[in-house]
Amino acid sequence: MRPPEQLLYDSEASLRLVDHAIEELSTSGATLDREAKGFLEHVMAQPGGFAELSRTLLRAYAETVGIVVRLRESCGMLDNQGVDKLQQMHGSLHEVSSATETATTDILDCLGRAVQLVEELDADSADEVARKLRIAQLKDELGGVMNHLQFQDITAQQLGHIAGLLTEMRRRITQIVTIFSPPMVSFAKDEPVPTHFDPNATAALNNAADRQAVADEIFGKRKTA
Amino acid sequence: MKFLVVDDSVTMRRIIINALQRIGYTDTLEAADGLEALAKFDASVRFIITDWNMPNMSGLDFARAVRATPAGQSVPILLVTTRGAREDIIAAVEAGVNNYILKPFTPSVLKEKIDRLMAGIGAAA
Repeated sequence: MRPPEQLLYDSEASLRLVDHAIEELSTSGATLDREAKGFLEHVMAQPGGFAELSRTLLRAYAETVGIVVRLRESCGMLDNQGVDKLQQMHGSLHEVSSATETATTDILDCLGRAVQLVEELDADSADEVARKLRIAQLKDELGGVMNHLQFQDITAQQLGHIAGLLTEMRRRITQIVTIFSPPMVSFAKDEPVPTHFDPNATAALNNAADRQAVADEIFGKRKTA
Repeated sequence: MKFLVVDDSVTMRRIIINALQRIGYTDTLEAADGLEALAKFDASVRFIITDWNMPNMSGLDFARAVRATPAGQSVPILLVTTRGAREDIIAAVEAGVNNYILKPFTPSVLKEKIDRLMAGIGAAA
């Protein structure tokens, strides 16, 4: 099999030839139509004219077949290399999401045990004011770490959105390839495009208060209405 | 007092349930989407905390479905979501949601919203 770059180059050249031929046909089509009858009569009147016409038609047919074969090869290449890669990316993104979920759950387990230990320490040293203060701070810090793990949900939504885009791209490429060459390649069944994700999900905390204030304002108006 | 926590992210369910436990609410039910939550919802559930974007049934559809049941007319529904656009928040109000928290949130914000909704129940009683 020829390298993809050469196939694409050949296909592009073939398409340019086809485009040129169509343009010529469109401009001279009417003239050809008028002259066709006379042209055929002229060719058939020549010695060996029929054989010459047959050879010309066969050559044209061979060239057309060559163009179609190159287009089909290009479509196959697009399907095999492009769509397979998109499927791999989709799978990889799913793996990233699962791995993040598992890791985050494990971290939560560890932090839960740590908080429990701090609470036990706290119970053992009720009379040491400074130590209690530090322990309280440590509990707050651990609680903060737990809270920061919300990034997993936001990351999962972003990855889910990307997966949805990739599925959509794959579907469109499959549609294009099917137009050119239905029996040449086999396709997986259409997968549903995931839609239960917020493409604008953000872990940014710098404008969190402002965003929450908008929600509070709307719900505040509802209560007073 | 039983809480129903609905989110397709296991992590978010853990974080919310952990925050609830720390402020004294230990009776919780979990569901991974609106459909599962609707199956678990009954009159014993006194407070719902739900995500918006979930497979099978979204948080908003779940809120509408709950409001359509006799047991779900007055149960407080708190939406915890990443969706912060004004039209999203208005859609949540129209779906029957009682209050709205944007992710990422802090436990103090969660506590404040729960306390406010609980006070509303007390005032209505």
